[in-house]
Amino acid sequence: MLIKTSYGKFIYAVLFLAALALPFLAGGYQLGIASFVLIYLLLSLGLNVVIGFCGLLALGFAAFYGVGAYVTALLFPKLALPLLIASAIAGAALFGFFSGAPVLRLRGDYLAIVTLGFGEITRLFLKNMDWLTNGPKGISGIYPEVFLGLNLTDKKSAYLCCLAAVALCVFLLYRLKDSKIGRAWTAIREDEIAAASCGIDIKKLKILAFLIGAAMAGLGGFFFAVNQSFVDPNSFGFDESVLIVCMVVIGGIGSIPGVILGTFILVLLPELLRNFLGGFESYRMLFYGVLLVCMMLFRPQGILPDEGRKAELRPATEGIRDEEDSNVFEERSN
Amino acid sequence: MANLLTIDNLSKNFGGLTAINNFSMNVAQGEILSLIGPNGAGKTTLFNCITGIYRPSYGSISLPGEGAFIEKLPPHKVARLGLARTFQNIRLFANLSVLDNVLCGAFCRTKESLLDIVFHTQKFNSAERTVTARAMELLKFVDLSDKLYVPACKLPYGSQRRLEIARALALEPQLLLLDEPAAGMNASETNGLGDLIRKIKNSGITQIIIEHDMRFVMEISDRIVVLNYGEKIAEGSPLEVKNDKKVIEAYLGEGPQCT
Repeated sequence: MLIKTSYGKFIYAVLFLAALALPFLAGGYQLGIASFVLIYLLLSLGLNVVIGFCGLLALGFAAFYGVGAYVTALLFPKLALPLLIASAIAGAALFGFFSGAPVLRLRGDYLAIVTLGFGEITRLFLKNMDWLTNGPKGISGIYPEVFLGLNLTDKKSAYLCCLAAVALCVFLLYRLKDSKIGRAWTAIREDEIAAASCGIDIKKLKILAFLIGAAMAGLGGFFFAVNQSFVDPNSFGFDESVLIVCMVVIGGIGSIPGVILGTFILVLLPELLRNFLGGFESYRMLFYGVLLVCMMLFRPQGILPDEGRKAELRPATEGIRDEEDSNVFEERSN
Repeated sequence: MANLLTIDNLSKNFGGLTAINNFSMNVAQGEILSLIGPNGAGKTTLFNCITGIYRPSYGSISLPGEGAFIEKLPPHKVARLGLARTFQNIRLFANLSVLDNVLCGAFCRTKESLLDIVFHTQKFNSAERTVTARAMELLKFVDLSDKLYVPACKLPYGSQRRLEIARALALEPQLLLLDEPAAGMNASETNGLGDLIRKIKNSGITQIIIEHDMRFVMEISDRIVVLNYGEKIAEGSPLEVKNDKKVIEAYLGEGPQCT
Protein backbone atom coordinates (compact mmCIF):
# COMPACT_ATOMS: atom_id res chain seq x y z
CA MET A 1 0.00 0.00 0.00
CA LEU A 2 1.30 3.38 -0.98
CA ILE A 3 0.97 5.16 2.32
CA LYS A 4 2.85 2.43 4.15
CA THR A 5 6.04 3.09 2.24
CA SER A 6 8.06 6.15 3.15
CA TYR A 7 8.02 7.01 -0.55
CA GLY A 8 4.23 7.18 -0.52
CA LYS A 9 4.17 9.26 2.64
CA PHE A 10 6.66 11.64 1.09
CA ILE A 11 4.46 12.17 -1.97
CA TYR A 12 1.42 12.82 0.20
CA ALA A 13 3.41 15.29 2.32
CA VAL A 14 4.63 17.16 -0.75
CA LEU A 15 1.14 17.29 -2.22
CA PHE A 16 -0.31 18.54 1.04
CA LEU A 17 2.31 21.26 1.47
CA ALA A 18 1.87 22.38 -2.13
CA ALA A 19 -1.89 22.56 -1.61
CA LEU A 20 -1.34 24.46 1.62
CA ALA A 21 0.90 27.03 -0.07
CA LEU A 22 -1.34 27.48 -3.10
CA PRO A 23 -3.77 30.14 -1.80
CA PHE A 24 -0.83 32.37 -0.88
CA LEU A 25 0.79 32.07 -4.30
CA ALA A 26 -1.98 31.72 -6.84
CA GLY A 27 -4.65 34.11 -8.05
CA GLY A 28 -8.41 33.89 -7.67
CA TYR A 29 -8.95 31.83 -10.84
CA GLN A 30 -6.45 29.15 -9.83
CA LEU A 31 -7.83 29.08 -6.31
CA GLY A 32 -11.32 28.53 -7.68
CA ILE A 33 -10.17 25.54 -9.71
CA ALA A 34 -8.18 24.15 -6.78
CA SER A 35 -11.28 24.43 -4.61
CA PHE A 36 -13.17 22.36 -7.13
CA VAL A 37 -10.42 19.75 -7.15
CA LEU A 38 -10.83 19.44 -3.39
CA ILE A 39 -14.62 19.26 -3.53
CA TYR A 40 -14.48 16.57 -6.19
CA LEU A 41 -11.87 14.71 -4.15
CA LEU A 42 -14.42 14.37 -1.35
CA LEU A 43 -16.93 13.03 -3.87
CA SER A 44 -14.66 10.65 -5.74
CA LEU A 45 -12.97 9.29 -2.63
CA GLY A 46 -16.42 8.76 -1.12
CA LEU A 47 -17.68 6.95 -4.19
CA ASN A 48 -14.49 4.92 -4.17
CA VAL A 49 -15.54 3.42 -0.84
CA VAL A 50 -18.77 2.23 -2.44
CA ILE A 51 -17.53 1.16 -5.86
CA GLY A 52 -13.89 0.47 -5.13
CA PHE A 53 -13.70 -1.01 -1.67
CA CYS A 54 -17.05 -2.73 -1.55
CA GLY A 55 -17.72 -3.37 -5.25
CA LEU A 56 -21.18 -1.78 -5.38
CA LEU A 57 -21.75 0.01 -8.65
CA ALA A 58 -23.75 3.06 -7.56
CA LEU A 59 -24.70 5.52 -10.30
CA GLY A 60 -26.72 8.12 -8.45
CA PHE A 61 -23.99 9.44 -6.24
CA ALA A 62 -24.67 13.09 -7.04
CA ALA A 63 -27.88 12.78 -5.02
CA PHE A 64 -25.92 12.66 -1.77
CA TYR A 65 -23.84 15.60 -2.94
CA GLY A 66 -27.06 17.48 -3.63
CA VAL A 67 -28.57 16.64 -0.26
CA GLY A 68 -25.45 17.92 1.49
CA ALA A 69 -25.54 21.15 -0.52
CA TYR A 70 -29.27 21.75 -0.04
CA VAL A 71 -29.12 21.02 3.69
CA THR A 72 -26.41 23.68 3.88
CA ALA A 73 -28.42 26.12 1.77
CA LEU A 74 -31.54 25.68 3.89
CA LEU A 75 -30.02 25.62 7.33
CA PHE A 76 -27.16 28.11 7.17
CA PRO A 77 -29.10 31.01 8.71
CA LYS A 78 -30.21 28.86 11.64
CA LEU A 79 -27.14 26.86 12.64
CA ALA A 80 -23.62 27.63 13.78
CA LEU A 81 -20.90 26.45 11.44
CA PRO A 82 -19.91 23.14 13.13
CA LEU A 83 -23.57 22.16 13.44
CA LEU A 84 -24.16 23.14 9.84
CA ILE A 85 -21.32 20.91 8.64
CA ALA A 86 -22.53 18.09 10.87
CA SER A 87 -26.07 18.37 9.54
CA ALA A 88 -24.91 18.40 5.92
CA ILE A 89 -22.94 15.21 6.57
CA ALA A 90 -25.70 13.62 8.64
CA GLY A 91 -28.40 14.57 6.12
CA ALA A 92 -26.52 12.95 3.26
CA ALA A 93 -25.62 9.90 5.36
CA LEU A 94 -29.22 9.42 6.46
CA PHE A 95 -30.35 9.74 2.88
CA GLY A 96 -27.69 7.18 1.96
CA PHE A 97 -28.95 4.85 4.63
CA PHE A 98 -32.60 5.05 3.62
CA SER A 99 -31.97 4.80 -0.10
CA GLY A 100 -29.31 2.13 0.42
CA ALA A 101 -30.91 -0.22 2.91
CA PRO A 102 -33.68 -1.51 0.64
CA VAL A 103 -31.62 -1.83 -2.54
CA LEU A 104 -28.24 -3.13 -1.42
CA ARG A 105 -29.30 -6.74 -1.81
CA LEU A 106 -29.27 -6.15 -5.54
CA ARG A 107 -26.02 -6.71 -7.33
CA GLY A 108 -24.08 -5.38 -10.27
CA ASP A 109 -26.16 -3.91 -13.06
CA TYR A 110 -29.40 -4.03 -11.11
CA LEU A 111 -27.96 -1.94 -8.31
CA ALA A 112 -26.57 0.49 -10.89
CA ILE A 113 -30.01 1.01 -12.43
CA VAL A 114 -31.79 1.42 -9.10
CA THR A 115 -29.25 3.93 -7.77
CA LEU A 116 -29.42 5.80 -11.08
CA GLY A 117 -33.17 6.01 -10.55
CA PHE A 118 -32.74 7.29 -7.02
CA GLY A 119 -30.34 9.93 -8.26
CA GLU A 120 -32.85 11.18 -10.83
CA ILE A 121 -35.71 11.13 -8.33
CA THR A 122 -33.67 13.27 -5.98
CA ARG A 123 -32.87 15.78 -8.70
CA LEU A 124 -36.54 15.99 -9.71
CA PHE A 125 -37.58 16.51 -6.11
CA LEU A 126 -35.11 19.33 -5.74
CA LYS A 127 -36.43 20.81 -8.95
CA ASN A 128 -40.13 20.54 -8.16
CA MET A 129 -40.47 21.05 -4.42
CA ASP A 130 -40.70 24.80 -4.82
CA TRP A 131 -41.87 25.46 -1.27
CA LEU A 132 -38.68 23.97 0.13
CA THR A 133 -35.99 24.23 -2.52
CA ASN A 134 -37.19 27.21 -4.53
CA GLY A 135 -37.43 24.91 -7.57
CA PRO A 136 -35.27 25.33 -10.66
CA LYS A 137 -34.29 28.84 -9.63
CA GLY A 138 -32.20 27.42 -6.82
CA ILE A 139 -31.16 29.09 -3.60
CA SER A 140 -28.69 31.93 -3.60
CA GLY A 141 -26.88 34.01 -1.02
CA ILE A 142 -25.47 31.18 1.05
CA TYR A 143 -23.13 32.97 3.43
CA PRO A 144 -22.63 31.05 6.65
CA GLU A 145 -21.96 33.10 9.75
CA VAL A 146 -18.47 33.68 11.04
CA PHE A 147 -17.61 31.13 13.71
CA LEU A 148 -14.70 31.76 16.11
CA GLY A 149 -13.03 33.97 13.54
CA LEU A 150 -13.46 31.42 10.77
CA ASN A 151 -15.18 33.08 7.85
CA LEU A 152 -15.99 30.62 5.10
CA THR A 153 -17.27 33.29 2.72
CA ASP A 154 -13.60 34.11 2.32
CA LYS A 155 -12.40 31.88 -0.51
CA LYS A 156 -9.01 31.25 1.06
CA SER A 157 -10.43 30.11 4.39
CA ALA A 158 -12.97 27.93 2.65
CA TYR A 159 -10.23 26.37 0.56
CA LEU A 160 -8.04 25.65 3.56
CA CYS A 161 -10.96 24.18 5.48
CA CYS A 162 -11.79 21.94 2.55
CA LEU A 163 -8.15 20.89 2.31
CA ALA A 164 -8.19 19.90 5.98
CA ALA A 165 -11.37 17.90 5.37
CA VAL A 166 -9.84 16.08 2.41
CA ALA A 167 -6.65 15.30 4.33
CA LEU A 168 -8.69 13.95 7.24
CA CYS A 169 -10.79 11.81 4.90
CA VAL A 170 -7.73 10.36 3.16
CA PHE A 171 -6.28 9.47 6.55
CA LEU A 172 -9.53 7.84 7.68
CA LEU A 173 -9.88 5.91 4.44
CA TYR A 174 -6.41 4.42 4.81
CA ARG A 175 -7.19 3.45 8.38
CA LEU A 176 -10.40 1.76 7.30
CA LYS A 177 -8.83 0.07 4.33
CA ASP A 178 -6.11 -1.51 6.48
CA SER A 179 -8.49 -2.94 9.01
CA LYS A 180 -10.81 -5.87 9.25
CA ILE A 181 -13.55 -3.68 7.80
CA GLY A 182 -11.47 -2.97 4.71
CA ARG A 183 -10.68 -6.66 4.33
CA ALA A 184 -14.34 -7.54 4.75
CA TRP A 185 -15.32 -5.04 2.04
CA THR A 186 -12.83 -6.59 -0.33
CA ALA A 187 -14.11 -10.02 0.57
CA ILE A 188 -17.66 -8.94 -0.28
CA ARG A 189 -16.44 -7.48 -3.55
CA GLU A 190 -14.67 -10.71 -4.45
CA ASP A 191 -17.25 -13.26 -3.35
CA GLU A 192 -20.35 -12.51 -1.30
CA ILE A 193 -21.23 -16.09 -0.47
CA ALA A 194 -17.76 -16.97 0.73
CA ALA A 195 -17.69 -13.71 2.72
CA ALA A 196 -20.96 -14.57 4.45
CA SER A 197 -19.62 -18.02 5.22
CA CYS A 198 -16.68 -16.34 6.97
CA GLY A 199 -19.13 -14.72 9.37
CA ILE A 200 -19.15 -11.34 7.63
CA ASP A 201 -22.48 -9.54 7.88
CA ILE A 202 -22.75 -8.54 4.25
CA LYS A 203 -25.73 -6.26 4.58
CA LYS A 204 -24.32 -4.31 7.50
CA LEU A 205 -20.97 -3.75 5.83
CA LYS A 206 -22.52 -2.70 2.54
CA ILE A 207 -24.66 -0.17 4.37
CA LEU A 208 -21.58 1.06 6.22
CA ALA A 209 -19.80 1.62 2.91
CA PHE A 210 -22.83 3.47 1.58
CA LEU A 211 -23.04 5.60 4.72
CA ILE A 212 -19.38 6.58 4.62
CA GLY A 213 -19.52 7.36 0.91
CA ALA A 214 -22.70 9.41 1.31
CA ALA A 215 -21.31 11.27 4.31
CA MET A 216 -18.24 12.32 2.33
CA ALA A 217 -20.46 13.44 -0.54
CA GLY A 218 -22.52 15.44 1.94
CA LEU A 219 -19.38 17.18 3.13
CA GLY A 220 -18.49 17.86 -0.51
CA GLY A 221 -21.99 19.32 -0.94
CA PHE A 222 -21.45 21.63 2.00
CA PHE A 223 -18.23 23.01 0.54
CA PHE A 224 -19.85 23.35 -2.87
CA ALA A 225 -22.74 25.38 -1.48
CA VAL A 226 -20.39 27.62 0.50
CA ASN A 227 -17.95 27.99 -2.37
CA GLN A 228 -20.64 28.95 -4.92
CA SER A 229 -22.95 30.62 -2.38
CA PHE A 230 -25.61 29.28 -4.71
CA VAL A 231 -27.21 25.88 -5.39
CA ASP A 232 -29.61 24.70 -8.08
CA PRO A 233 -30.88 21.24 -9.04
CA ASN A 234 -28.89 21.05 -12.26
CA SER A 235 -25.60 20.82 -10.38
CA PHE A 236 -26.58 17.42 -9.04
CA GLY A 237 -27.83 15.54 -12.09
CA PHE A 238 -26.81 12.41 -13.87
CA ASP A 239 -23.88 14.15 -15.61
CA GLU A 240 -22.36 14.82 -12.25
CA SER A 241 -22.75 11.20 -11.12
CA VAL A 242 -21.12 9.99 -14.32
CA LEU A 243 -18.27 12.44 -13.90
CA ILE A 244 -17.55 11.11 -10.40
CA VAL A 245 -17.65 7.52 -11.63
CA CYS A 246 -15.19 8.50 -14.37
CA MET A 247 -12.79 9.92 -11.81
CA VAL A 248 -12.82 6.66 -9.88
CA VAL A 249 -12.52 4.43 -12.93
CA ILE A 250 -9.79 6.37 -14.68
CA GLY A 251 -7.58 6.65 -11.62
CA GLY A 252 -7.97 3.04 -10.57
CA ILE A 253 -11.00 1.54 -8.86
CA GLY A 254 -10.27 0.98 -5.18
CA SER A 255 -6.93 2.76 -5.21
CA ILE A 256 -6.79 5.95 -3.13
CA PRO A 257 -3.80 7.54 -4.96
CA GLY A 258 -5.38 6.47 -8.24
CA VAL A 259 -8.68 8.18 -7.48
CA ILE A 260 -6.85 11.32 -6.40
CA LEU A 261 -5.01 11.37 -9.71
CA GLY A 262 -8.21 10.68 -11.66
CA THR A 263 -9.93 13.58 -9.95
CA PHE A 264 -7.05 15.94 -10.75
CA ILE A 265 -7.13 14.91 -14.39
CA LEU A 266 -10.86 15.29 -14.85
CA VAL A 267 -11.13 18.64 -13.09
CA LEU A 268 -8.06 20.18 -14.67
CA LEU A 269 -8.46 18.82 -18.19
CA PRO A 270 -11.60 20.78 -19.10
CA GLU A 271 -9.92 23.94 -17.85
CA LEU A 272 -6.83 23.31 -19.97
CA LEU A 273 -8.98 22.48 -22.98
CA ARG A 274 -11.34 25.38 -22.47
CA ASN A 275 -9.78 27.43 -25.23
CA PHE A 276 -9.53 24.60 -27.75
CA LEU A 277 -12.25 23.03 -29.82
CA GLY A 278 -14.37 26.17 -29.68
CA GLY A 279 -15.47 25.49 -26.11
CA PHE A 280 -14.75 22.08 -24.70
CA GLU A 281 -17.88 22.27 -22.59
CA SER A 282 -20.16 21.15 -25.42
CA TYR A 283 -18.09 18.02 -26.12
CA ARG A 284 -17.62 17.10 -22.49
CA MET A 285 -19.95 14.12 -22.26
CA LEU A 286 -18.72 12.73 -25.57
CA PHE A 287 -15.18 13.00 -24.29
CA TYR A 288 -15.98 11.20 -21.02
CA GLY A 289 -17.76 8.45 -22.90
CA VAL A 290 -14.82 7.86 -25.23
CA LEU A 291 -12.42 8.04 -22.31
CA LEU A 292 -14.36 5.41 -20.34
CA VAL A 293 -14.55 3.06 -23.30
CA CYS A 294 -10.82 3.44 -23.94
CA MET A 295 -10.01 2.81 -20.30
CA MET A 296 -12.12 -0.34 -20.28
CA LEU A 297 -10.45 -1.58 -23.45
CA PHE A 298 -6.83 -0.75 -22.71
CA ARG A 299 -6.38 -0.33 -18.99
CA PRO A 300 -9.41 -1.50 -17.00
CA GLN A 301 -7.46 -1.42 -13.75
CA GLY A 302 -6.94 2.36 -14.03
CA ILE A 303 -3.85 4.55 -14.25
CA LEU A 304 -2.64 3.86 -10.70
CA PRO A 305 -4.27 0.53 -9.93
CA ASP A 306 -4.94 -0.84 -6.50
CA GLU A 307 -2.28 -3.28 -5.43
CA GLY A 308 -3.26 -6.90 -5.81
CA ARG A 309 -6.14 -6.08 -8.04
CA LYS A 310 -4.78 -6.04 -11.53
CA ALA A 311 -8.01 -6.70 -13.33
CA GLU A 312 -11.43 -6.44 -11.84
CA LEU A 313 -13.01 -7.68 -15.06
CA ARG A 314 -13.23 -11.31 -14.24
CA PRO A 315 -11.65 -14.03 -16.33
CA ALA A 316 -14.06 -16.18 -18.28
CA THR A 317 -13.49 -19.25 -16.12
CA GLU A 318 -15.48 -17.68 -13.35
CA GLY A 319 -18.67 -18.00 -15.35
CA ILE A 320 -19.53 -21.23 -13.58
CA ARG A 321 -19.36 -19.52 -10.25
CA ASP A 322 -21.58 -16.70 -11.39
CA GLU A 323 -24.15 -19.18 -12.55
CA GLU A 324 -24.08 -20.84 -9.16
CA ASP A 325 -24.42 -17.42 -7.57
CA SER A 326 -27.48 -16.48 -9.53
CA ASN A 327 -29.23 -19.65 -8.39
CA VAL A 328 -28.33 -18.94 -4.82
CA PHE A 329 -29.50 -15.36 -4.95
CA GLU A 330 -32.80 -16.31 -6.50
CA GLU A 331 -33.10 -18.81 -3.74
CA ARG A 332 -32.37 -16.30 -0.96
CA SER A 333 -34.82 -13.76 -2.27
CA ASN A 334 -37.70 -16.26 -2.32
CA MET B 1 -20.37 -39.02 22.49
CA ALA B 2 -22.78 -36.13 22.55
CA ASN B 3 -24.38 -34.88 19.39
CA LEU B 4 -22.95 -31.72 17.95
CA LEU B 5 -25.41 -31.33 15.11
CA THR B 6 -28.89 -32.79 14.69
CA ILE B 7 -30.85 -32.70 11.47
CA ASP B 8 -34.52 -33.65 11.69
CA ASN B 9 -36.81 -34.47 8.77
CA LEU B 10 -35.11 -31.97 6.54
CA SER B 11 -36.56 -31.34 3.08
CA LYS B 12 -35.57 -28.89 0.41
CA ASN B 13 -37.61 -28.29 -2.73
CA PHE B 14 -36.69 -26.18 -5.70
CA GLY B 15 -40.04 -25.61 -7.33
CA GLY B 16 -41.21 -29.11 -8.18
CA LEU B 17 -37.81 -30.70 -7.67
CA THR B 18 -37.13 -32.30 -4.32
CA ALA B 19 -33.40 -32.04 -3.71
CA ILE B 20 -33.53 -33.38 -0.16
CA ASN B 21 -36.38 -35.49 1.10
CA ASN B 22 -37.13 -36.06 4.77
CA PHE B 23 -33.51 -36.39 5.76
CA SER B 24 -32.39 -36.92 9.35
CA MET B 25 -28.98 -37.46 10.84
CA ASN B 26 -26.88 -36.84 13.91
CA VAL B 27 -23.26 -35.80 13.96
CA ALA B 28 -21.33 -36.78 17.07
CA GLN B 29 -18.78 -34.53 18.70
CA GLY B 30 -15.31 -35.10 17.29
CA GLU B 31 -16.12 -37.57 14.52
CA ILE B 32 -15.36 -37.46 10.84
CA LEU B 33 -18.57 -38.11 8.98
CA SER B 34 -18.45 -38.59 5.23
CA LEU B 35 -21.37 -37.82 3.00
CA ILE B 36 -21.32 -39.79 -0.23
CA GLY B 37 -23.70 -40.42 -3.07
CA PRO B 38 -23.93 -40.19 -6.85
CA ASN B 39 -23.85 -36.78 -8.54
CA GLY B 40 -27.00 -34.80 -7.90
CA ALA B 41 -27.85 -36.75 -4.77
CA GLY B 42 -28.25 -33.53 -2.78
CA LYS B 43 -25.00 -33.50 -0.83
CA THR B 44 -24.01 -29.92 -1.55
CA THR B 45 -27.62 -28.80 -1.14
CA LEU B 46 -27.48 -30.30 2.33
CA PHE B 47 -24.31 -28.31 3.06
CA ASN B 48 -25.99 -25.16 1.80
CA CYS B 49 -28.96 -25.82 4.09
CA ILE B 50 -26.73 -26.40 7.11
CA THR B 51 -24.68 -23.26 6.54
CA GLY B 52 -27.68 -21.01 5.95
CA ILE B 53 -27.15 -20.34 2.25
CA TYR B 54 -30.41 -22.15 1.50
CA ARG B 55 -33.41 -22.07 3.75
CA PRO B 56 -34.85 -25.57 4.17
CA SER B 57 -38.45 -26.14 3.06
CA TYR B 58 -39.25 -28.33 6.07
CA GLY B 59 -37.48 -29.74 9.05
CA SER B 60 -34.98 -28.47 11.55
CA ILE B 61 -31.24 -28.26 12.02
CA SER B 62 -29.95 -27.72 15.52
CA LEU B 63 -26.84 -27.56 17.64
CA PRO B 64 -27.95 -29.35 20.83
CA GLY B 65 -24.86 -28.18 22.71
CA GLU B 66 -25.76 -24.54 22.07
CA GLY B 67 -29.48 -25.10 22.29
CA ALA B 68 -29.73 -23.30 18.96
CA PHE B 69 -31.87 -23.97 15.90
CA ILE B 70 -30.01 -22.75 12.87
CA GLU B 71 -32.26 -23.59 9.91
CA LYS B 72 -33.60 -20.04 9.65
CA LEU B 73 -30.38 -18.14 10.35
CA PRO B 74 -28.51 -16.20 7.63
CA PRO B 75 -25.07 -17.59 6.69
CA HIS B 76 -22.99 -15.15 8.74
CA LYS B 77 -24.87 -15.99 11.93
CA VAL B 78 -24.46 -19.70 11.31
CA ALA B 79 -20.75 -19.08 10.80
CA ARG B 80 -20.55 -17.18 14.08
CA LEU B 81 -21.91 -20.24 15.88
CA GLY B 82 -18.80 -22.06 14.72
CA LEU B 83 -19.79 -23.74 11.47
CA ALA B 84 -17.13 -23.19 8.84
CA ARG B 85 -17.07 -24.59 5.33
CA THR B 86 -15.19 -24.89 2.09
CA PHE B 87 -16.73 -24.95 -1.36
CA GLN B 88 -16.86 -27.46 -4.18
CA ASN B 89 -15.64 -24.87 -6.68
CA ILE B 90 -12.98 -23.15 -4.63
CA ARG B 91 -14.22 -19.75 -3.53
CA LEU B 92 -11.26 -17.81 -2.27
CA PHE B 93 -11.01 -14.04 -2.37
CA ALA B 94 -8.96 -14.24 -5.51
CA ASN B 95 -7.20 -10.87 -5.44
CA LEU B 96 -6.52 -10.83 -1.71
CA SER B 97 -3.24 -12.18 -0.44
CA VAL B 98 -3.02 -15.60 1.18
CA LEU B 99 -2.66 -13.99 4.60
CA ASP B 100 -5.59 -11.61 4.07
CA ASN B 101 -7.80 -14.52 3.03
CA VAL B 102 -7.17 -16.19 6.36
CA LEU B 103 -7.63 -12.88 8.22
CA CYS B 104 -11.06 -12.54 6.57
CA GLY B 105 -11.93 -15.94 7.98
CA ALA B 106 -11.27 -14.58 11.47
CA PHE B 107 -13.53 -11.56 10.86
CA CYS B 108 -16.02 -12.29 13.62
CA ARG B 109 -13.41 -13.41 16.14
CA THR B 110 -12.14 -9.93 16.92
CA LYS B 111 -14.31 -7.22 18.39
CA GLU B 112 -12.66 -3.90 17.64
CA SER B 113 -15.07 -1.06 16.92
CA LEU B 114 -14.95 1.63 14.26
CA LEU B 115 -13.37 4.02 16.75
CA ASP B 116 -10.68 1.50 17.64
CA ILE B 117 -9.87 1.24 13.96
CA VAL B 118 -9.75 4.98 13.38
CA PHE B 119 -7.60 5.77 16.41
CA HIS B 120 -5.50 2.58 16.33
CA THR B 121 -6.21 1.98 20.01
CA GLN B 122 -4.52 -0.63 22.13
CA LYS B 123 -7.48 -2.90 21.50
CA PHE B 124 -7.08 -2.60 17.73
CA ASN B 125 -3.35 -3.24 17.85
CA SER B 126 -3.60 -6.25 20.09
CA ALA B 127 -6.52 -7.68 18.10
CA GLU B 128 -4.60 -7.29 14.83
CA ARG B 129 -1.51 -8.85 16.37
CA THR B 130 -3.37 -11.82 17.81
CA VAL B 131 -5.33 -12.51 14.70
CA THR B 132 -2.29 -12.20 12.44
CA ALA B 133 -0.26 -14.52 14.66
CA ARG B 134 -3.09 -17.03 14.57
CA ALA B 135 -3.36 -16.75 10.79
CA MET B 136 0.39 -17.37 10.45
CA GLU B 137 0.05 -20.42 12.65
CA LEU B 138 -2.78 -21.77 10.51
CA LEU B 139 -0.85 -21.15 7.33
CA LYS B 140 2.05 -23.07 8.78
CA PHE B 141 -0.40 -25.82 9.69
CA VAL B 142 -1.54 -26.12 6.05
CA ASP B 143 2.01 -25.63 4.82
CA LEU B 144 1.60 -22.26 3.10
CA SER B 145 3.84 -20.08 5.30
CA ASP B 146 6.13 -19.24 2.41
CA LYS B 147 3.30 -17.71 0.32
CA LEU B 148 1.87 -15.13 2.75
CA TYR B 149 1.72 -12.21 0.34
CA VAL B 150 0.91 -14.03 -2.88
CA PRO B 151 -2.59 -13.30 -4.27
CA ALA B 152 -4.76 -16.36 -3.72
CA CYS B 153 -5.54 -16.75 -7.42
CA LYS B 154 -1.83 -17.26 -8.16
CA LEU B 155 -1.59 -20.41 -6.03
CA PRO B 156 -1.63 -23.85 -7.59
CA TYR B 157 -4.85 -25.80 -7.23
CA GLY B 158 -3.90 -28.03 -4.33
CA SER B 159 -2.63 -25.05 -2.33
CA GLN B 160 -5.86 -23.18 -2.98
CA ARG B 161 -7.78 -26.08 -1.44
CA ARG B 162 -5.54 -25.98 1.61
CA LEU B 163 -5.85 -22.21 1.87
CA GLU B 164 -9.61 -22.55 1.86
CA ILE B 165 -9.32 -24.97 4.77
CA ALA B 166 -7.05 -22.53 6.62
CA ARG B 167 -9.57 -19.75 6.06
CA ALA B 168 -12.32 -21.94 7.45
CA LEU B 169 -10.21 -22.87 10.48
CA ALA B 170 -9.58 -19.18 11.19
CA LEU B 171 -13.25 -18.98 12.15
CA GLU B 172 -12.36 -21.23 15.12
CA PRO B 173 -15.12 -23.64 14.16
CA GLN B 174 -16.56 -26.48 16.16
CA LEU B 175 -17.78 -28.07 12.95
CA LEU B 176 -15.94 -27.99 9.65
CA LEU B 177 -17.78 -28.86 6.44
CA LEU B 178 -15.52 -29.81 3.55
CA ASP B 179 -17.11 -30.00 0.12
CA GLU B 180 -15.03 -32.34 -2.06
CA PRO B 181 -11.66 -31.36 -0.61
CA ALA B 182 -9.79 -33.95 -2.66
CA ALA B 183 -11.38 -33.11 -6.01
CA GLY B 184 -8.74 -32.59 -8.66
CA MET B 185 -5.86 -33.61 -6.42
CA ASN B 186 -3.24 -36.15 -7.36
CA ALA B 187 -2.43 -39.16 -5.15
CA SER B 188 0.28 -37.52 -3.07
CA GLU B 189 -1.76 -34.34 -2.56
CA THR B 190 -4.68 -36.51 -1.44
CA ASN B 191 -2.48 -38.27 1.08
CA GLY B 192 -1.32 -34.92 2.42
CA LEU B 193 -4.94 -33.85 2.70
CA GLY B 194 -5.75 -37.01 4.65
CA ASP B 195 -3.02 -36.19 7.13
CA LEU B 196 -4.31 -32.65 7.43
CA ILE B 197 -7.86 -33.82 8.12
CA ARG B 198 -6.62 -36.21 10.79
CA LYS B 199 -4.66 -33.41 12.42
CA ILE B 200 -7.78 -31.24 12.41
CA LYS B 201 -9.68 -34.08 14.03
CA ASN B 202 -7.03 -34.42 16.72
CA SER B 203 -7.44 -30.74 17.54
CA GLY B 204 -11.02 -31.56 18.48
CA ILE B 205 -12.92 -30.22 15.47
CA THR B 206 -15.81 -32.28 14.13
CA GLN B 207 -15.86 -32.65 10.35
CA ILE B 208 -18.40 -33.51 7.68
CA ILE B 209 -16.80 -34.32 4.36
CA ILE B 210 -18.38 -34.70 0.94
CA GLU B 211 -16.08 -36.74 -1.23
CA HIS B 212 -16.09 -38.96 -4.29
CA ASP B 213 -12.67 -40.55 -3.85
CA MET B 214 -13.81 -43.82 -2.25
CA ARG B 215 -10.44 -45.04 -1.09
CA PHE B 216 -9.92 -41.72 0.67
CA VAL B 217 -13.39 -41.82 2.20
CA MET B 218 -13.00 -45.37 3.48
CA GLU B 219 -9.66 -44.54 5.04
CA ILE B 220 -10.57 -41.35 6.76
CA SER B 221 -14.18 -41.68 7.91
CA ASP B 222 -15.50 -42.74 11.28
CA ARG B 223 -18.94 -42.99 9.80
CA ILE B 224 -20.50 -42.67 6.36
CA VAL B 225 -23.93 -41.47 5.30
CA VAL B 226 -25.05 -42.31 1.78
CA LEU B 227 -27.49 -40.09 -0.08
CA ASN B 228 -29.35 -40.89 -3.28
CA TYR B 229 -32.08 -38.74 -4.87
CA GLY B 230 -32.14 -36.63 -1.71
CA GLU B 231 -32.81 -39.53 0.62
CA LYS B 232 -30.59 -41.32 3.05
CA ILE B 233 -30.15 -44.87 1.82
CA ALA B 234 -27.49 -46.11 4.21
CA GLU B 235 -25.51 -45.09 7.25
CA GLY B 236 -22.76 -46.79 9.21
CA SER B 237 -19.10 -47.59 9.47
CA PRO B 238 -17.08 -47.68 6.24
CA LEU B 239 -17.19 -51.48 6.24
CA GLU B 240 -20.96 -51.63 6.67
CA VAL B 241 -21.58 -49.11 3.95
CA LYS B 242 -19.20 -50.80 1.55
CA ASN B 243 -21.21 -54.00 1.70
CA ASP B 244 -24.64 -52.42 1.71
CA LYS B 245 -26.76 -53.69 -1.16
CA LYS B 246 -28.61 -50.44 -1.70
CA VAL B 247 -25.37 -48.50 -1.90
CA ILE B 248 -23.92 -50.82 -4.50
CA GLU B 249 -27.13 -50.50 -6.50
CA ALA B 250 -27.08 -46.73 -6.30
CA TYR B 251 -23.57 -46.58 -7.63
CA LEU B 252 -23.50 -49.46 -10.08
CA GLY B 253 -27.14 -50.01 -10.93
CA GLU B 254 -29.06 -53.15 -10.07
CA GLY B 255 -27.27 -56.46 -10.33
CA PRO B 256 -28.05 -58.87 -13.16
CA GLN B 257 -31.53 -60.26 -12.82
CA CYS B 258 -31.39 -64.02 -12.35
CA THR B 259 -34.44 -65.75 -13.68
